[in-house]
Amino acid sequence: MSTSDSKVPVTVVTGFLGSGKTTLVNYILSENHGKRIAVIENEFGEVGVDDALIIDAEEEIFEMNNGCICCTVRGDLIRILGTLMKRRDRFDYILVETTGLADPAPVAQTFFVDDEIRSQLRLDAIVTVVDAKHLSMHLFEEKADGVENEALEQIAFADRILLNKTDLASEEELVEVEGHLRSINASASVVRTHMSKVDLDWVLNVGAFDLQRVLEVEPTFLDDSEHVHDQSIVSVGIEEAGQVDVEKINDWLGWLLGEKGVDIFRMKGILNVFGSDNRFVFQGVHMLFDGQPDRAWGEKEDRVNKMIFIGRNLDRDEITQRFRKCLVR
Amino acid sequence: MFEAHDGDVVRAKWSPSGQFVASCGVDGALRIWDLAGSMVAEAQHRGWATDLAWRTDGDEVAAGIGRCVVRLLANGMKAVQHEELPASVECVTWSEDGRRLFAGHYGGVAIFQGSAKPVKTFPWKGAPLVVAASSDGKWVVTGNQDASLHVWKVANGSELQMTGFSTKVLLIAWSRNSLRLANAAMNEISEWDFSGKGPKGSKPIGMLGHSSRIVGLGYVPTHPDLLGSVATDGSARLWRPVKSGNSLIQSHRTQHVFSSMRWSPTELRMVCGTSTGEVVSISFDEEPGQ
Repeated sequence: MSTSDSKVPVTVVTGFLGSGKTTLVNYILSENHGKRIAVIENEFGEVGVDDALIIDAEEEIFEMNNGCICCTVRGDLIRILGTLMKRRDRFDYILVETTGLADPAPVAQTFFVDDEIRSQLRLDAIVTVVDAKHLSMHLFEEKADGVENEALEQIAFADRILLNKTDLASEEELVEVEGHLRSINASASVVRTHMSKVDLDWVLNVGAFDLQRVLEVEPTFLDDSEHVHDQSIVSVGIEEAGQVDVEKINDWLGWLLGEKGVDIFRMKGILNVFGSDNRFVFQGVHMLFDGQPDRAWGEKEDRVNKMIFIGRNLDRDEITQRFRKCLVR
Repeated sequence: MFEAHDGDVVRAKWSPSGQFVASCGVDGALRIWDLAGSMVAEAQHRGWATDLAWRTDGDEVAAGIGRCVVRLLANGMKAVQHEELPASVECVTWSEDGRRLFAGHYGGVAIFQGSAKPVKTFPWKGAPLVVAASSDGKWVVTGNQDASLHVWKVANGSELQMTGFSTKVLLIAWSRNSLRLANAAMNEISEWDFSGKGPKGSKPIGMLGHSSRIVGLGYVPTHPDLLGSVATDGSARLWRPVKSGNSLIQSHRTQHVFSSMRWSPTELRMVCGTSTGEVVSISFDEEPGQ
């Protein structure tokens, strides 16, 4: 069951100031690829592109009054996307460029909470552009208590990461930065780029939020020992054989969303549920959770529970121990 | 048919007299046209237009464009220029007497009279989608993105909030006598009693029965105690809201996917727009019985 084909895919491009985010958007607009793309920008671009549909957005973030304390959405996006969809014959893809300092959560959550948006559009992927030379500086920048490190958050939310400006960094530096990226976000795929030049199929229509493609990229689960740096955002991966009890796992997910939802930026997973021959897949952004039974397990497939949680102050042992209690003994 | 805007037209509305059409679009323009399709007046502001409303006397029209409320007089003369609000304007409406103009914007409601600055602002952390003032001018209500209604007493700014709807609230309607307010969210209609001290702490009358999203809602001008609604499932319903028992008094089922509804000013007849661009007229029986 997939209705995704009739929905217009939306790619969200984030990236710190000076990372090459606007270069990527301009590259996508100017490349002769035959794709019709509407771009929603936060600042008017310098480069005028003929025939392109470019819309100026204002970052109007507000809180949903739905009992979910971290559920903020972008009201301007709801308005713009709603109006755009009246003329959907004019484009096949939508690209949303966020400001360099933007927290990606409100943009992502917009696609989960508004019925009209949900019925016509799908969040396809969050693409984050990082500056290979200056990333480390932004990552470990000392922030006052309570102040977000946006560079970290943008990486944590990403499905695809462009490691850009590779010409300015040495191979050693690139390897080090790739290590940082993996330890923050083990489920995003990373590609090295120069001038943000990337195969467009790698950033458009990726299907990263498609439940059926959850964990298509095999996460590289790192051990704690590989955490070279003291950073607040990490990926916690769980890979456990065995079957989970459906009630216990529901309680566990409830605990996770309730207690850790504010701290979890992204989560994805596949579960092996006791009594079911089908995989159960889920994904989420903060407290917004989406899960459903998926295809049947293959004959030769290892029925393994695989999950990844990307977030702040996540206690790997606590999450893992609690998860193990859901296994049917 | 004529080309009114560069890009999409967001709203187009007849003036109350039927003499003019006002339109606004994503080009940030508000324009008034006569029946021959000639432009009578025009105003422009930075941003997209979101909503427009004719003053009851039909002499003036207001639109939300970007962060500004832009006004145009049908005689082509210059109207009041308002200052920009703190965020994009989403919806506009006039008071019945035409003296006040209400603008719902991200973060609250602003009330304008004859000057550039608002005479009152009601800040509120939310995103209004539609705004409606009671005809006695005492109340202003917004239907909001976060599935709530927010109500202000215009005199002192005191607030009420109604929550728990299943979707965002896009339809609100005041009864002619300002004593009742109806709203629809998804397939559910609620009616609130504004008599006496208002609806604080009260429960609404719920009206269920449409099987899909309600897209038109309004009290009947010729029968002020009756309420009509249409939904995308092709159903059209006439209600007499009662606290206990069945409020539904008549219903029609059609094959149309409705998108909007207006009551005739003189008959028990509704005119509905459909998603395929048709206009359908639906009559209900006079002296509706149980």
